[in-house]
Amino acid sequence: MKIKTTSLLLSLVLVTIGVTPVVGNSRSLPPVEGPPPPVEVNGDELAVGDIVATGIRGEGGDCNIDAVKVRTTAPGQGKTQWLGIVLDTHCRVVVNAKWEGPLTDGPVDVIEPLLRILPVSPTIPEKPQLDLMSRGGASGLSALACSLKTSEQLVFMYGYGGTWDKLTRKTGKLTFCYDGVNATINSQSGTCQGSTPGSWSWVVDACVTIDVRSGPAPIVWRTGRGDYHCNPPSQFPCNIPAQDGYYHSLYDSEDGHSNGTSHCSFWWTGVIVAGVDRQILQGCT
Amino acid sequence: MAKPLKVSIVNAATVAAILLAAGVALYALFVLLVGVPGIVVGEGEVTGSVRYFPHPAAVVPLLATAILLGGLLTRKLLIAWIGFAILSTFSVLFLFSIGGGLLPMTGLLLILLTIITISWRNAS
Repeated sequence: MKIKTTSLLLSLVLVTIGVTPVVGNSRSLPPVEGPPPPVEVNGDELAVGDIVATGIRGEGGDCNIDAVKVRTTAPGQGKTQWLGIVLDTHCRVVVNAKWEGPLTDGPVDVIEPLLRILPVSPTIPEKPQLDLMSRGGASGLSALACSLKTSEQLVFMYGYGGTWDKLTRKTGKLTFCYDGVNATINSQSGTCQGSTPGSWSWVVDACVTIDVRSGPAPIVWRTGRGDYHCNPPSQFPCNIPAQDGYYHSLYDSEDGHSNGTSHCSFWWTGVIVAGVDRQILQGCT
Repeated sequence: MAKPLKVSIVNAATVAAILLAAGVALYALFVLLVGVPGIVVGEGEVTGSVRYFPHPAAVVPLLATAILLGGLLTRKLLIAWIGFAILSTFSVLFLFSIGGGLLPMTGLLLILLTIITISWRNAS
């Protein structure tokens, strides 16, 4: 297969995360039918100035190059390696940059052409957003086109002292990436908390994630549930209600939309003391 | 009852009330700064870890005991009773959290303050 390019400058950046078997400079025999597989080059062995491939100049001045696939392995857990590859005026594919860390650490003359060819108007994300690139094999290019948002809330059951009198708590946190078309969950978590204020305690019976929609989708969400009771159920003050033990469940749900908005909701079931309320810790708008 | 015995009882009750109020104040300070222990469990986890969560509402019993102590030390019973009223109200309202632990001490303070009040009134 031939790649025909009219542009003399082509920037390619290929990122491989995790421990990926590196394919060396091996060439496969062409199949009987169909185009031959691209030549794979081990990017780990490449240095700045190395020629990855050489093309043939066509009559119209176009440059025809055999398909080349460059693979690199991550230099370590959570780390990212970048290769800048350019097509020079002599119809050669040359490595013009190589660096580790966030994309923004790379040379500007390598990054800018890349950003110009992205399908959506890109913004170079802040460094924390580059964590996206450490997610199992996610493309660094697609990660660049989205923004991150985190929504977090604390749902709690309170006593007769009001919202200062928190007895059981449930937190939920959702971090999602949105690009105007879709949203994808980057990370999600939740915790449940009881307390031991005296000879009795608020016990966490279970803490579970009951629903997650990771996306990519126009709306992504997570829902968590915490089950609690007052222990020992038959002793004061746990035995005050008609139904001993104040067995109850707190639910939290956080969603993220493709346009960057987010909503947080909560509800409960079972026997509660005075009420259930929540605090928005971040996002949820 | 002999007068020296009465005086001894009143003195003992006053000292006990002061010590008890100081104990409550220390407990409130601990809960305010360090917190109440609680098990935190992550979603999907079976076991959790113990963490202490400071309780901002503990500032109320701290102030209440300060008022109570001030009244006892200056022999102004009305002020001591105001402090006690705040403390006991807090104990009832916050029964299911830190207030429940203060209830027995509040009951003892009620007995001691009653003894002190009756004795001081009789003496005056």
